[in-house]
Amino acid sequence: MKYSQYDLIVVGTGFASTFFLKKYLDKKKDVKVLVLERGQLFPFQDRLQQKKGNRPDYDSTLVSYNDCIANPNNSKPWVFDPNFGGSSNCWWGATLRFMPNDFKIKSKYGVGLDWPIEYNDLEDYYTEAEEIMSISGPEQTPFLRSRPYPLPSHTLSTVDRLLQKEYGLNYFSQPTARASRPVGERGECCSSYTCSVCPNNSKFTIENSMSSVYNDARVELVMNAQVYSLLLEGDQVRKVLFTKDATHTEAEGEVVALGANAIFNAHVLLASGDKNIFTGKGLSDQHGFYVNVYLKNFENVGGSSAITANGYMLYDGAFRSQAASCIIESHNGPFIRNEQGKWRHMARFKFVLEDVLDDKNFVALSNDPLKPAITYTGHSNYIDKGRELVLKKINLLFACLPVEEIFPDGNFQSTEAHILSTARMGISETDSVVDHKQIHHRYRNLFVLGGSSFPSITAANPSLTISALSLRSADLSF
Amino acid sequence: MKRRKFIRFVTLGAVTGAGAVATFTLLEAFESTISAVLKKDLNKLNISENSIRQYAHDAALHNPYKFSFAKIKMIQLYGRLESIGLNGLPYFSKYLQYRSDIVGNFLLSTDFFWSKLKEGDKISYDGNIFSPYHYPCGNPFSNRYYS
Repeated sequence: MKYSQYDLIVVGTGFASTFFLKKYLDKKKDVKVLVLERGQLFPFQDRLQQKKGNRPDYDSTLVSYNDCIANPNNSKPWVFDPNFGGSSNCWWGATLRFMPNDFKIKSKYGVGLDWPIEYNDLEDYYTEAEEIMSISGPEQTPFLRSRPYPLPSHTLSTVDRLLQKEYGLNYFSQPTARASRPVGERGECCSSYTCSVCPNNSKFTIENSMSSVYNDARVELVMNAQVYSLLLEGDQVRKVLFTKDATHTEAEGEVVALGANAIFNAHVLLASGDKNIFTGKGLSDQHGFYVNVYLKNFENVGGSSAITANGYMLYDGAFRSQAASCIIESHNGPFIRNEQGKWRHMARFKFVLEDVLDDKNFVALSNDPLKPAITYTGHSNYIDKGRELVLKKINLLFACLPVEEIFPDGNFQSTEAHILSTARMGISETDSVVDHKQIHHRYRNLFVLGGSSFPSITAANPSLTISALSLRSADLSF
Repeated sequence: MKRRKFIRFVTLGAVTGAGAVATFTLLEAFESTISAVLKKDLNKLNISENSIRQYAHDAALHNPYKFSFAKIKMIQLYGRLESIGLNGLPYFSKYLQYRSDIVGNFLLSTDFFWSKLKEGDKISYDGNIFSPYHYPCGNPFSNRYYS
């Protein structure tokens, strides 16, 4: 390290950290910033080669997400990318905003928890994050926007067009970080349907669009540095403790921002002796299941991108007092119906349901100081009610399509890869861990950024909201 | 060579040999399964025996469907049960989905969708299994192929 003391120490290099750091650097001039990344740079070109069967010569040093945590529940994986750029490397690029009612589901529907902010508090930052990621999206969406999307929307398939005709604003081309036109280093999305590593480098990643943040002269990036604890004194964080090349090291920071995922943010807080009763509690993920729809003499073709559209027909309404909100994704992979002459007479949808926080699902310390222990007892009944509602309404939902038969999957997917809610946001430490700026209620120079701060998780994909929250936190604080 | 060393050498050889035989047997069984699925499900298409044989061989080796051992066994078992008329078993729809995955990958590995061939046209497999990383932008149902 160049210095022993920094103006800001950031932990992690994913969405939460990078958007926060970008705004911080925009606002502060002569500063010294240290960024600690637990993983290494696993460049896009090497990831691509690996997918083609050519492993890089440093393959043995790459760590799997499963090796980073103690998770006894094999049926519930917690998926993330423990390398530079975090989950921007493996996400699928869906950038839905939350709906206004998502921020107040407790007061509106009597379930879950309200956020201490409203949609309008975040609108400017949503727009800014969409600009930075060059989002492709339609002119009209169910959530109000003050500015158009930077890139044109992707094309709807023949099936999507029928659904949009029926549902109007509630069925729309998916806003996405899979570029509809080449932009910067990114190619155009061409529907390869393998977004975890996009063969065309089309989706936004920290590496392809925001590396400049880490090349800034004010920033010192240290890789292979895993933070395991903070030194807390009174209402302040004094030092960050981490391992670097198997050596225990420390650095002093005026301000510290934890921007790891919700498992590791909570783990660092717990290891530091944070006594907030909510720290680590409420570990959540959405739950999704696929539905195949066989169509009568109707071809589902012509859509662009991996997920062409979203349906919000079951997103919001009075039902949320009983059953989970649901987004519908229209998938556009090269899947077929295995029947002569009807190869593409089918559509595939995914229904993704929100969950409510349950303190029985939590992160704790383990015997290994570098490994969080996960306890996940299962999803809530709220999700099961949501699924029941979907299945009850599904024939009606697709009545505008020439349906031959509908086949819902019997099971949920094991993961939506969204790790959320272990350091929830709220009004005070009697109801939460962090405040509306994602600053810890007790330690006032400590930001706890990212999906850990969500007091309710909604059905929408979280990465855009994580990014917007980080921009807001830095903007309001510096 | 000392006796103990000799025994160790022979044991290691036997284990390696058994492993190789097991792998070969599994691959051969997987290959036959793929071949049987394609022959049955695509019996009305004009595909040469050689195309199916070559694809089944390549696919068994590379497993483009990423099927686990359990899934392969399930396809084999359900295939046998289906042939004697048992098709209402639990997870039967999963079995049908796996069959679709095999058929879908095969057709994507041929010129059928790419050249928009008609059902009676001769379909050829040229030795390249479909993978999005070897055929980027290769989604024959997308806007690139249908406007």
